[in-house]
Formats: sequence, structure tokens, C-alpha cells
Amino acid sequence: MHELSIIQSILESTLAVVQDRSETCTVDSIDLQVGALAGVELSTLEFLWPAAVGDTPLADTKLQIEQLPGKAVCSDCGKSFNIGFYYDPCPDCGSHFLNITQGEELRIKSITLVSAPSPPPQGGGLPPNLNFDWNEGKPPLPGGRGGGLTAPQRLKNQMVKN
Amino acid sequence: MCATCGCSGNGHQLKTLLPVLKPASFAGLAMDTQVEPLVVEAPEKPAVRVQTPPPPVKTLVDLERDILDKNKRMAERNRGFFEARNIRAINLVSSPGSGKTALLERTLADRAGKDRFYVIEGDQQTDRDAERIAAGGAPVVQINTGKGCHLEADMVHQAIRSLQPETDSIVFIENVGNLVCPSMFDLGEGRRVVVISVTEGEDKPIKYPDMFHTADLCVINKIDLLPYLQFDLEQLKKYGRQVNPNLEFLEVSATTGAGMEGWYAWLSFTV
Ligand SMILES: Nc1nc2c(ncn2[C@@H]2O[C@H](COP(=O)(O)OP(=O)(O)OP(=O)(O)O)[C@@H](O)[C@H]2O)c(=O)[nH]1
Ligand SMILES: [Mg+2]
Ligand SMILES: [Zn+2]
Ligand SMILES: [Zn+2]
Repeated sequence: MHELSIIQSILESTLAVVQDRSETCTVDSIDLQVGALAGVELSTLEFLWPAAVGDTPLADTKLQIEQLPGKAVCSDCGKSFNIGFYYDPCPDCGSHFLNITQGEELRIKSITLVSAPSPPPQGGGLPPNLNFDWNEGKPPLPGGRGGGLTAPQRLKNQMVKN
Repeated sequence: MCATCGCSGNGHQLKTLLPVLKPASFAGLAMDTQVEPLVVEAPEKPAVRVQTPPPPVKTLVDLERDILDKNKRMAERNRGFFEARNIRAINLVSSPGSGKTALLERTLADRAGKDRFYVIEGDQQTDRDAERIAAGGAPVVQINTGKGCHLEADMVHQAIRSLQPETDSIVFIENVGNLVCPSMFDLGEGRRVVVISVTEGEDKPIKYPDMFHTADLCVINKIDLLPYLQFDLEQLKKYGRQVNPNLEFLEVSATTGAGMEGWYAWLSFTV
């Protein structure tokens, strides 16, 4: 079950990135690239993930895995072909002397962070009692700037209505 | 060091994405755009400006980092140590019970006075293998991995710190008996040896291709048992070469000592 070690490594790398950042943020998703020859069972990885991250700051983080097919170039005849297993021979000449060009990847491609909105600056801005939502109770503006309202605002409007 | 994501390379870049309503359109948006707080003016009350809190900002950090990066870097440190001291470090992998410890016991006995040996023993539990090695007179460190099914480079690092192997010696690392997991973890060894016993069946190389693909040598052990078994040695080698055409083979019996001279000759490889 080296998949657990792999999850542990993913956790360590990700948390290191989060800690290096100046603002507080949560991890929305992690994008992995896993080659078909990398020796990792994706179903095992996905099965273990929720339990393995359950008690960590990544409990709600989505794991997105892109699987890369194996590719090889025959060292004897130069043929390029897709390879599913290390023992697959060159389809043209039958050679097993192959140069694997893709499929052994096991990498974190990217991490998507969400930084929490910072609280309104102290002293500046409007006093809290004037900080009302003028949109309250009104239908959302058709087009224009109103269309740029963010999801949490839309949600808020809906909750007010219901 | 890259200031944005803390990586050491310079090809990495930080991408800041605009928050949008539909996550699907997220990836296609322009990068490096600073999100300004949305300021909405109320038509009826021009005097009052409402500043909504800044929406959550999604940031894509391009990491492009090998998941086993930490292990690989530690393995390279071990490798550097071995190379600087001209130490032949050998990672022995196999399924449980193929005879790794027996092979080492025989080697220590036969080569006493000819080579200087150190042994790192990896098992989930017990120090039984270390006791067997210690009885043969070699300095040995036992690593118990608990639930872990393979050795990792930092464990070996700790072990060589306490062993302090001499220049020109041989360090055997007996990995946890397991034909799957140890294949992924570089320990910094100079050579990887997969041991297979003739009772295991000749199709192991294609059933566990990763292990045979990454090995330099395949030691076929327990050949004293061949008369009692249906085991096709040539077929095993054929499968092995399909997975790894550079794989070498040796046939031995750790019990009777047959074929061990070939193993000792192989051990004199240059670091
Ligand atoms: N007949 C025969 N038996 C052997 C030979 N080599 C090892 N054995 C026996 O195989 C069994 C397992 O040997 P070990 O040396 O403990 O095997 P191992 O690979 O170290 O086992 P783990 O560390 O548990 O994975 C023991 O009973 C040995 O006596 C051999 O060449 N011939
Ligand atoms: Mg053993
Ligand atoms: Zn495992
Ligand atoms: Zn070919």
C-alpha cells in the first residue's frame, strides 16, 4: 500500500505551499498527473484519500487526477507507440529495448488555493450600521455591473427572499 | 527560491484567477489579474457607497513537482555519500521468504576477511533478520517499518548515519519482503537486486513488472529445489527480459552454496 506514502507526500508538499503564503487560505483542489506506468493504483488512491485527509486541513480538498498514457520509442527501429505495460514489445519489430517517453509521471501539477476574504479595514470604510445591502429584496440587476455579483452575494440575496 | 510558491526552480509561475460564478470557466481566464473589491453604487442613494467584502480569490499554484520528490532528493544524498566513499550499496528486494537473509548469511560467511560488509534490515516487525546477520559478524541496523511496506530513503539515511560504513565496503539493504511497493522508492543504492526463488513460479516478472523493470540483477535462489518442482528457468528469464532487456540473471542456492561464486564476482562492480 505505497499509495498511503504517496498521499502523505502530497499532503506534505501541499501544506508547505499553504504555509509559505502570506494570506490564510484553504486548498480547493489538487491536480495530479499520474502515468499509466507509474505503479500507482488510481482506484486505491481515490479510495484512501478521504480517510487519509479526514483529520487534516485538506479534508474538503478535491483530488483531481489526470492519467497519462504510456508512450515509448523503439530503440531498434525508431517506432513510436503507446505502451500499456513494461513488457509490451515494439509493434513493428518486436524489440523490448524501448525508450519510455511518457507514462512514468507521478507529479503534483498544480494546487488551487482559495484565500478567505480579508475583513474590512479597521477605521476606514463605512461604519458597520451603514454597511447595508441595497439590493436586499430586489431582483438582481439585469446585466451591467449587477451581473458581476459574486456567488456568495447571489446566495445571500436568495436567502433573504426565502 | 521562487517567491510565489516557494519552489526552487525558476520555471514556476503563480497564476491568480478571477473568481467567477461558474467553476467550469475558471481555467480559461486571464492570469495575474488583481481582483478589485466590487463597488456598487446605489441609484436612489448616491451619497451612500457600499463596499462589499472582497470575494474569495482563487489562486492556481503551478507546482509541477514530483510527488516522491522528497524521497528522491534524500536518495541522492545517500547516493552521494556511497559514491564518495566508494561503497557498493545494494538494495535487495523480493517477495517474502525468497531467501534474501539466507543469501546474506551465506555471503558474510563465505567472504569473511575478503570484503567489509554492513547490513540494513527492513522488516515490518521484529529484529530476527538483524539477529541472524549479527550472528554472522556484520554491523547491522534493523528498521521496523510497522505498517509501512517498503523502506524509504530517509530511513536508510538514518541507518547509515549510525552504521558509519567504511570506505570500499559493501552495504546491503534488505528491503521489506514485498514485490510491489519497494520498486517506487529509490534508496540511493548503486544496484538493485531482485531475488526470486524457484518455488514462486516463472511468471513473476510479468505479474510484478515494476520490480523487475527497475532491477539490475535477478538472483534466482533455491535452485537446489529444482528437481522437485515444475519450474521453467528459461521462461522466467524470457519474461524478465521482456520487462527489462538489460536484466542480468544468476542462479544460486543460498543453502548449498551452488552458484555463489558468480554472485561474489558480480559484487565486485565498480561504484
Ligand atoms: N532449499 C532452500 N531453502 C532456502 C534457500 N534460501 C533460503 N531458504 C529458506 O527459505 C526460507 C526463507 O528464507 P529467508 O532468508 O528468511 O528469506 P527472506 O527473503 O529473508 O524473507 P523475508 O525477510 O521474511 O522477506 C528459510 O526457511 C530458508 O532456510 C535455498 O537456497 N534453498
Ligand atoms: Mg529476510
Ligand atoms: Zn505497499
Ligand atoms: Zn521496433
